[in-house]
Amino acid sequence: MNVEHIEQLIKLMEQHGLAELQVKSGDLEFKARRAEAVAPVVIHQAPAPVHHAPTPAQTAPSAQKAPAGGEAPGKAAKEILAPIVGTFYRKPNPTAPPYKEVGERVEKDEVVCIIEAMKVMNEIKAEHAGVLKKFLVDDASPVEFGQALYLLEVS
Amino acid sequence: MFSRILIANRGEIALRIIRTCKRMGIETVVVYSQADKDAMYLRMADRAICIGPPPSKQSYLNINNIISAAEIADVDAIHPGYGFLSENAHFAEVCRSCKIAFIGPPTEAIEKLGNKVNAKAIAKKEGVPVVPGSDGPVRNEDEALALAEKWGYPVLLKAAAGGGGRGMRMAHNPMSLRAGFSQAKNEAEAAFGDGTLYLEKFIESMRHVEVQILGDQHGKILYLGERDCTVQRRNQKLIEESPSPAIQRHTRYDMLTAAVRLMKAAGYYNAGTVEMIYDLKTGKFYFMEVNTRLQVEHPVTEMVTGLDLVEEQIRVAYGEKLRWRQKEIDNKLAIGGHAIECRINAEDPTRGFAPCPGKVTLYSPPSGAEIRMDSHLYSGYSVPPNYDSMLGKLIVHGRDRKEAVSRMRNALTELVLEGIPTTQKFLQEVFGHAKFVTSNYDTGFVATEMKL
Repeated sequence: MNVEHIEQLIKLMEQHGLAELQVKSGDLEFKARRAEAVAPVVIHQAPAPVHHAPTPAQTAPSAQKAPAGGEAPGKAAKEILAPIVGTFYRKPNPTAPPYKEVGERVEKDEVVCIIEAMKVMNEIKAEHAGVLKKFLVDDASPVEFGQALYLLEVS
Repeated sequence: MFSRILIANRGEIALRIIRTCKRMGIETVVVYSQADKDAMYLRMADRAICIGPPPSKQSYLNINNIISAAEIADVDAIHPGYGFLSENAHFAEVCRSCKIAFIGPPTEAIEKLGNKVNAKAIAKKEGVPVVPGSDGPVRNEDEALALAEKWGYPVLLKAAAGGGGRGMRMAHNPMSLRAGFSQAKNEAEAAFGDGTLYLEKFIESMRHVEVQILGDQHGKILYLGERDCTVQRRNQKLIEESPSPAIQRHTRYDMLTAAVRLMKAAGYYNAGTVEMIYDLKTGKFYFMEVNTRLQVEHPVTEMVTGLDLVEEQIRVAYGEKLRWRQKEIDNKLAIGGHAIECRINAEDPTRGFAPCPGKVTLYSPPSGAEIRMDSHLYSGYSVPPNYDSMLGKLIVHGRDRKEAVSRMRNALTELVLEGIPTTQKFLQEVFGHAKFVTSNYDTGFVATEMKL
């Protein structure tokens, strides 16, 4: 392996957009890694894995932050934030089923969760319609003002 | 002792309270609005909880969110600091009903003394001299005019629910009194939600002297000396010092004991301040109002007595007895020397002290023996526009006033604060002014002596 070979290997990495390359030749080893791994960018409509056909109006903007869970994002997922301070609950009471499950559709003004503050159960209603992608806080955990509660794929 | 305290305030006082709690081994939870999310002091607390967007009403005055935060953080007590909810009787009551200790006076005392007219009535009953004024509210212009005729002009129209120097109007003659009445009423309505006014004789040449009070829940009340806050601008304090260089020994004693009498009658405990007016012409003092909270200028008293007032507040709230007798405090005061505080504000003195929020590009506080800088500033800090303009307090101590003044002059020169206009230079001029240095002035000092 000489300098020319190494240059070729580096070119190879660039051509194919590789983040990491490892080459072994005899007892010589070459290992290279890009300084900055490029974050996945949601650009355009991938084939929708969701159960209903997306309408054209909801095309995602060109760059969107990847959801906290690190899932492969499909369309724009909006973080829904806590409007008050309190304890977050997914159910109206301990024995009842949760208001919503992940993957379910949510209509505008539908109750998605409760934030209990000073013994008052404040219903948190959806301000947009869409699909609930992921809860970002655990059931019965404290939340502060502005904290992200769940991800909603607006549709 | 409490294991965890929530600090329902911001800026320098939040940092100040956190420091004492840490020293006492008490866990701290500090609340913040989105405007303060980058404040460095948040990191000093064990936990920081966001309680709302920038506007005070939705954050630092948002009782629901603050109590919620207190509950989710499982705190034993709340320290309200000064301003915001510190003198809000309803808030104190809500804390009590939620079984969270309110580090301050009892609700009843806040209510009784919070109403200025009521407070004066209590003072009168206890034989504490009061400024000649209306016995209760003045209902209309005619009533006001009649009283003004009796005492002579000038007179002062004041909002019963007011404070901090706001909601006041002076009148020099019947015409301005008539005009000022409806103006003051509307202003009071807008600022405090209560348009009730009362009338007072305006003392022309006076000094503002206040007494620091500390009481426990076992009935003991002590005075911790007085502070002279005569250098003011539009009734907002700029400089405070202790002891007062203007009053005579026996007058001081009368003032201090009168304050204790008043607070005892109101069933007060924890820290509080009784504000008085000292008439330079007659040498008499008059009760003005009570501040049922810890004050901005409390470090002045701390430097002179060696006490930590926030610690004392916490101990009292926990139910502990005060650890001193009045005699011991007198001894501390006798050897306490002299302390002075300057408030450093983000204001432009050349433009009528207009508030100037912005970025502090460089901050380097003065230091050295006997120098104390209470501030939440750091280089690169952006002063939010939503709250008051105070950047910090510079307090110095000296063996006597001369030494303290000299030390302050040097400290003001050492202070580096760049990026926004501040009152630093203005204060330096005050400390170079002959009348200030010889303590020959009254509350008109800034208006008449400082060319603005």
